[in-house]
Amino acid sequence: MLQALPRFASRYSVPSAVVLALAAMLLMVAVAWAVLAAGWVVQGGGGAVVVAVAATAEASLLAQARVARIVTVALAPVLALAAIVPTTLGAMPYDGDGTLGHTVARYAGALLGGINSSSDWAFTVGLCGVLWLTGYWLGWMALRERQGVLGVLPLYAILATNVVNSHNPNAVALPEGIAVALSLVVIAATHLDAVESRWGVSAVHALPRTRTRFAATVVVAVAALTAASLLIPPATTGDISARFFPGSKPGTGNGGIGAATIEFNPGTIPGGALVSHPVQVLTYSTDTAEPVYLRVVDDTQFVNGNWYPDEGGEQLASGLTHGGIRFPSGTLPRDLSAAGGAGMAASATVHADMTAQPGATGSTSFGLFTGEPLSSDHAGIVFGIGPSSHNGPLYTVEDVELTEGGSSTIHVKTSALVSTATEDQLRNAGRSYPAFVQHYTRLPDDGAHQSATIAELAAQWTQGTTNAYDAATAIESHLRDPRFFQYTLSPPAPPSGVWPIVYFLTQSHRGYCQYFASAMGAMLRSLGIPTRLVSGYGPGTPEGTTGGRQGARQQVVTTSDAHTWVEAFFPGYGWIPFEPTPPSVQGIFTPFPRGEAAVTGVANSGSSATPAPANTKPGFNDPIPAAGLTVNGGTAASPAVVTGIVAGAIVALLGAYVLWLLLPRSPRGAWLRLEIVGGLRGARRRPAETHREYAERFGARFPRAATPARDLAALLARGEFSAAGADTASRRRALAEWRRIAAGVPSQLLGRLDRSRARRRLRG
Amino acid sequence: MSARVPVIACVAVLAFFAGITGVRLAYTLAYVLLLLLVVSFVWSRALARRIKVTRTSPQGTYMVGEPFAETFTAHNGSVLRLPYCEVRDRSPIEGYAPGRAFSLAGGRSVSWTARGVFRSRGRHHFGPLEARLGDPFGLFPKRVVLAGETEVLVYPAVFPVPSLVPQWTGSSLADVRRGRPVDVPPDVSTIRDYQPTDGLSRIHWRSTARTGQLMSRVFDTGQNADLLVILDLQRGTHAGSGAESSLEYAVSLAASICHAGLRRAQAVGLVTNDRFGSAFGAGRGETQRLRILEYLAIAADSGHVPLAETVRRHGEGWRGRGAVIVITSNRNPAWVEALVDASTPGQRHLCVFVEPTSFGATGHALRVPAAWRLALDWWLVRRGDVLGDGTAISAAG
Repeated sequence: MLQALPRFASRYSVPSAVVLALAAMLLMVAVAWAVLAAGWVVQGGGGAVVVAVAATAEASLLAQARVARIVTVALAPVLALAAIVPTTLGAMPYDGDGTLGHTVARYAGALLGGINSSSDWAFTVGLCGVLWLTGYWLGWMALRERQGVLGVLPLYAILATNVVNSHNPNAVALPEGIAVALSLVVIAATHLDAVESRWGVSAVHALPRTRTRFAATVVVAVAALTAASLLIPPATTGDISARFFPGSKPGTGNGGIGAATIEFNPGTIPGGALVSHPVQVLTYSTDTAEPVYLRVVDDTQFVNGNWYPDEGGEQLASGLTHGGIRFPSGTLPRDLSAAGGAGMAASATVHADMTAQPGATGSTSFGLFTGEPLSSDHAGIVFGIGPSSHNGPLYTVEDVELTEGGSSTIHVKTSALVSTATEDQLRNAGRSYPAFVQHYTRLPDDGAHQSATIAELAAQWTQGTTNAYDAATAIESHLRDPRFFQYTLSPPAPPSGVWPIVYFLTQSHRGYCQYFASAMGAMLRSLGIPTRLVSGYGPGTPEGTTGGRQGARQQVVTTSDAHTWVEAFFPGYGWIPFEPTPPSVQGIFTPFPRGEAAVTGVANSGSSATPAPANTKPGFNDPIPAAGLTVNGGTAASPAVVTGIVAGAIVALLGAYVLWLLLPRSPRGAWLRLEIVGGLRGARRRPAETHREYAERFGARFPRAATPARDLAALLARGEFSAAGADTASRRRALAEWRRIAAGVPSQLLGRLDRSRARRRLRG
Repeated sequence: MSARVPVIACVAVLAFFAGITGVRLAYTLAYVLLLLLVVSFVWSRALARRIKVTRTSPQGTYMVGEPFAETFTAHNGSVLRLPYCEVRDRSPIEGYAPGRAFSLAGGRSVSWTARGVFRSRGRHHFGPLEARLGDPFGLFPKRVVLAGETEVLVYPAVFPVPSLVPQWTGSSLADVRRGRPVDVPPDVSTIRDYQPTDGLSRIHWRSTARTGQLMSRVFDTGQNADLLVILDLQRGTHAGSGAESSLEYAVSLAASICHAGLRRAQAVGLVTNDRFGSAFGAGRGETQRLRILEYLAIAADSGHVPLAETVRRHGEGWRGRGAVIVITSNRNPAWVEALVDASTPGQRHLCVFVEPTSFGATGHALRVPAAWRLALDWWLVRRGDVLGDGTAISAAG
């Protein structure tokens, strides 16, 4: 086939610039595909591919039009917006304000910081910005500057960031492999374009089929390089990034860089190690006898083992939509009727009075509620599921964004409903779920049947239960049982391609709240029970009593109190919380009391009515690994080892450089080294300096090497100016002269050192 | 900045992050760039040592306008495929582009023939050849000098000037008949049997001894009086550049006139006022022709002696011996006066004036007064005149 390629290509020849532009566009498609395959965007994101291709096409056209660099830079913002806005505007979640200024502000925020956002839309816009920039750079560098390597290297930064933070490396392997291969193709095509341009200038005619033979060579080389790089095993398989990058953002998944600090995160992404550096984020008091959990954001979308807030991308039943409604201070626009909304037949209103520090809820100022959000004394936007007309109240609320706060301390009073349904009521609630909770039962699989594994475990753990409540408490109890699951902030990393919660449920049995909550939520959904996760804060620690309200206590909440728990929907009683996380040094997490005890705390003993689990449970085929296990079953290198390897590599490189310096192979090489040595001592060769002149200057600097330097200069000049070049004898003599120089220079340097020491001694 | 540096930096960063995260794909990214560096380096070095290019270049002497051809053969002695190789010739031959680019499988050869035309006189070098090759990614380009150089001498263009002789044979047939002295004795063209009317001085004794009978020499009666060509090579006289300069026209005219005279068995001498004061005494035959042409091939307007002085110096000694032909672009009338002074009654000299203004020189074109026309023969040559066409030259005059 390779033999046929040149014949085919020579018959259907296309300009090299077109080939190069196409290769660059394909490369950008592969990079965008790799990023999207990593699952950073839960819904949508396809526009990023379009933006990436458009950026490359725009830059390619400008390069071919021979537009000046300054014009290209000046046009960049306009072209970027022309590509990004049309592809992302339709997916912008409605937040109750559709004014132009607000939309521009949202775009500006998303372009600048969207890549760190948990919002799908903001992330997509940020990603589009990054891809547009790299695509524009690639197109320009490849087609105009003819610097293929410089053009593709930013893409390697994207690919590397993508893979080291990816939750599912298997999913990105194919696009990353294609992107790597295409990057090599782009480098080669750019080089061909550059040399063809040079040929045109210097009247060098290419013989027939030169291009196509070059292309065939590149295909073989790229295939071999890509295959070899894929086949070479990794030097290490353990993740020790936490020891190098402590305190990075939480929620990074498998292989993420660094140990995250515990703090609030809207998404629930069971990831790597966490460290606790508590920083006070808010204080609050309630009118209940007991401290309460503070809900911030609901995670309702389950994707590849992780939970994310709904950005409006999920397909809902007819007549329903996800959106936001602006509200003034006061009662939230939500439907609490039993028929249409999350009716709570048995509930109590709990008021909270809190002072939140900047950043308490991340970059967005979310409202904090002690239960189902009911009212707020600050205006904002309430997000959730409501009628598709955007006119009616919401059936369920998933988060509340306040118009104040965020970057400043905010004092806010909220009220919420806390269910007081008893266990019996919940057991008898039945399964007649309203339409708006249907999508809370979705448990999409990834093709590796990992959802099926979860469902199988859930079925085994809930054997013998007859209602949703008993099933939920069985799972909750099982996860809380210290004989089977342990709380740890340093969970072992799962093997490549395995969901962290599946690894947690089947192998490691060690994790923190995100593992426990994610696992329980997925198991409940596998049983058909509408479930969502709640990201917020645990109760915190009491600071003291206040005089503002009888019985109220001031609680102090820190970043380390960030917590995730589970809520299941029970018809007539609404969302009922469950606590699958066992007690630990991070918090004495106890099951939520039912009935009146939910607000009075009378029955809040931490015990559950659910019988204790049996000694053994289905699904526990392997013993719980002991502490200090080998991470991921791989070879975990310590920081010292890695530092040693890096230091060794540097020493090896230095050694190779010294060897290279000492062993020239031609008179020109010997001269080059002489210039390097001279440059190190501050005697750089001047532009118009002849060999002889420089040798004289070098000799003045290094008297012992003066004669061989002069001889070397003479030999080199003779070789360079003779038609036949240097003969063998001259070459040998030149190398011998270099050896004399190399022998003389260090001793002189050492001599200088000795003299300076002697001078210091004399002075001393 | 070389493309290798950012790649090396990228490999280092990727290797670090791959090492601390243990992610296989991160290693793959680091590996692919590392392999790219290693493979490119080895590939380039292996090819640079194994590529060989041979050429068969023209040798000897040529004349401006003559075509030539060179054959090149490139051989890839490596087992590796040569992605591209750009062979360039450093020879400064105008309009000649023998450089080719090709791609070659391991152990294969490719040949091509480059054709060109010598467009300027002088010593021309073919080579050395330079090859630029490297890995397909351009990370380690190599430049190697592949073959030595050869040299050819290119004479100035020589055009037929058949109409020249009748007009400027200063020592005309009448002079010969009158027994005017001729410096160079007539050449012997052949021998024949002795006839009783032949004088003893005419006997060719060597042939007589060999044949055993008296043999007489036969003189070439076609020969004529001597010609002295004075070529003005004073610096700053000529205008224009390259092939379209008055210098090249003048040199070509000098070569053509000398060539024509020598082919007609005249004794021709050449005098110039270049910085060496190069002069060739009158002589006949192929040797003289080649001497003059070889000089004219490399002649340059490097002199400082004014043309008038040269004419005066050499014209005085030439008085009455034959015609003087002055080829110049000098508009200073001093040399005309010197040439007129060098004439003897009945002797007419020829002025070949290459009009410098037609080659871009400033000032007015030369106006030839009637007195000059009466005293001397004149040809005026302008840029674009077809030198090979005698009618054009005559018309110019």
